[in-house]
Amino acid sequence: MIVAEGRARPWVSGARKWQDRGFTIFMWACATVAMVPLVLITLYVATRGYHALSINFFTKEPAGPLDPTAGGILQSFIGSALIVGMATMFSVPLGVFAAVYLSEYGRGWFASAMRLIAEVLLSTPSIVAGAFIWSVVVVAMGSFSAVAGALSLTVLMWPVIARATEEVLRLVPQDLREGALALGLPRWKVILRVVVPTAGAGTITSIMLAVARGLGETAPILLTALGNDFINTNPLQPTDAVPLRIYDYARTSVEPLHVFAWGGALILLAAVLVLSIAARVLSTRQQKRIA
Amino acid sequence: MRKRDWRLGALVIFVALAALAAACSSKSGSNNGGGSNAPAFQGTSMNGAGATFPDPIYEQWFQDFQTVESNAKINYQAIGSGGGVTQFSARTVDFGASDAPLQSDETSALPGGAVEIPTVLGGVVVTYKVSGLETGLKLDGRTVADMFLGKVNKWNDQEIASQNPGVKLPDEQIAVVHRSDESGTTFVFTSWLSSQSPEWQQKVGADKAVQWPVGTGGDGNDGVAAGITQTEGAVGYLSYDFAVSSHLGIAQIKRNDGTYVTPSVDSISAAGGILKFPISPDTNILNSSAAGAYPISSTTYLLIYTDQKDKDKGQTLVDFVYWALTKGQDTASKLNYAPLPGTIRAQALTQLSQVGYQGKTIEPSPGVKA
Repeated sequence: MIVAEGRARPWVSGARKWQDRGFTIFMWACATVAMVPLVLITLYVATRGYHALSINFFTKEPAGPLDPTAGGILQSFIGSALIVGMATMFSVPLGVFAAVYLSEYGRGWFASAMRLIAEVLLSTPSIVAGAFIWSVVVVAMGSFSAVAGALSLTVLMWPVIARATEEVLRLVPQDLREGALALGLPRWKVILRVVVPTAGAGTITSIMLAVARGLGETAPILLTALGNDFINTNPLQPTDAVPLRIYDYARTSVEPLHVFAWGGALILLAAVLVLSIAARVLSTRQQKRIA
Repeated sequence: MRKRDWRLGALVIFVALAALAAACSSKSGSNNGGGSNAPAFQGTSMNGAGATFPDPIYEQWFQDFQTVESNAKINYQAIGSGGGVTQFSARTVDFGASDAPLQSDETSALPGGAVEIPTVLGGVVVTYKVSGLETGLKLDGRTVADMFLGKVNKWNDQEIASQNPGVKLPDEQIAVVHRSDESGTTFVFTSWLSSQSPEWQQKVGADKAVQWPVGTGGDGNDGVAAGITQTEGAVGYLSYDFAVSSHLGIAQIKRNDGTYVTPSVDSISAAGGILKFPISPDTNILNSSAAGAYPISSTTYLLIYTDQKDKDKGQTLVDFVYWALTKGQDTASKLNYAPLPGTIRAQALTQLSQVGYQGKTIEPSPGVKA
């Protein structure tokens, strides 16, 4: 009997080992498959796009289609910075303060409604934000503008910041708040000096993710900022953006411009990757700090 | 505690307002003043949007025009003919552009009188990819309609063979590729098919987007070009500039007088000879009777308000159009656009005199006439 049991055990654990190994391999395979598109996209865009990268590409406005390589897309880089910069300026206060409200004060129906609104906005198709801003801002002002573009991005960006920041603020241990309050600090000081700084890196992470989203949006910008073939720094005038330029150049019959579209895509992808990786690094640090 | 709530709320509002104020206050300064006393008018910056088809030539023109008027930074964005009319109508742009003449409902929705000025001509080209079949296949309107109706579905069909004696046609399935989006190109193509085939007119008709009996869709000219390139035995239609850059087979099309014409800058340009002014909702240059004209040709228009609100912008626009219709025409063929025939240029220029400021016609500056 003892011998029989001794034989039976290795047989059972063999099947389990096999199952365990099988599932581990399966998980690895899934994770790898999930990574494949990102790697392929990055490699493909890099190999197609790097031909476009020249001094002109970064330092000049477009030349005519007869000799496109004499020009560049400087106005798109400046425009993207202007529009996304303004959008960040609008959406950071909105998002961060909404998050503070939700995590520190938010009780009852108003807070629930606010969370719901933020979630609905998160999943709203971005072109809806563009169409909305077109009808209330562009038509009223009588012109496409960088401000309108920034406002349409704000509609998309503040919920990202609000929801992500709220999650980070909730991670701040209750003990810290109680300790600070016990020392006699007023509540606003507790939030400003203890809660928000503790969650600082996480907040910045959420802002970076929102900026990355804003950088890549095309549809809302198309309906609000229009695009511009010239450098424009006036927030009230039509302004270019990198995604718009890519969309425009990818669809033209002028072949050299297709290369420019790939070049723009490469720069955009690089910017988004840098932001995402930075956000990742910061949030890892944050987790270590709270733990 | 409640008092502190209020303080936080005030802070939120204050910061948001401060951000808005900062963004709006930086607008000042970039508007360069007047310039009316300057020795020669140098133009001003302005914005336009509309048709995708003429985008490359317009971009080139706006570049080149800066050598005539150095401050004329004219920004043109290709958002499509439909969008062009919408934005022009909402006055969110200084001028519009469209491949189709304004329809009566569009005209009545405009806030003011407008003039439509043709700038260049284009053609819709039947393109194909059949290995072993060279460019220049001869097709008449009925055959093309039957191909797109699915009635002629083999490349060696009798309808095709009878027009191409001596050409070795493969026993291969025809794969139709068409546009999936709304498009001026589709409107021109289906209008022409309707003029050639009663069956097409009855079953499908002419529109910017139609219910296609057969085939697969592609988004934009680029999408259709890619679709044809990737499919052996494919046939589709492209605007002339895309047909040239895609290196596909280009069909010769039968005119109503029985001769076959290859689409080219010259044959498309010739078709413009029958253009009638003023432009009306049903203006077109299909099946042009002019000598050597390619039958599936079309125009594209700039939309300009006759009563300009801004003197400098109005002057810049008039100067630009005058220049585009004279010196600018030479550039067109380099980018595979057909220039307007000489007689039509002159008539288009007379249309330009409708554009005025405070009730007075804006004359082109001496600089552009020189």
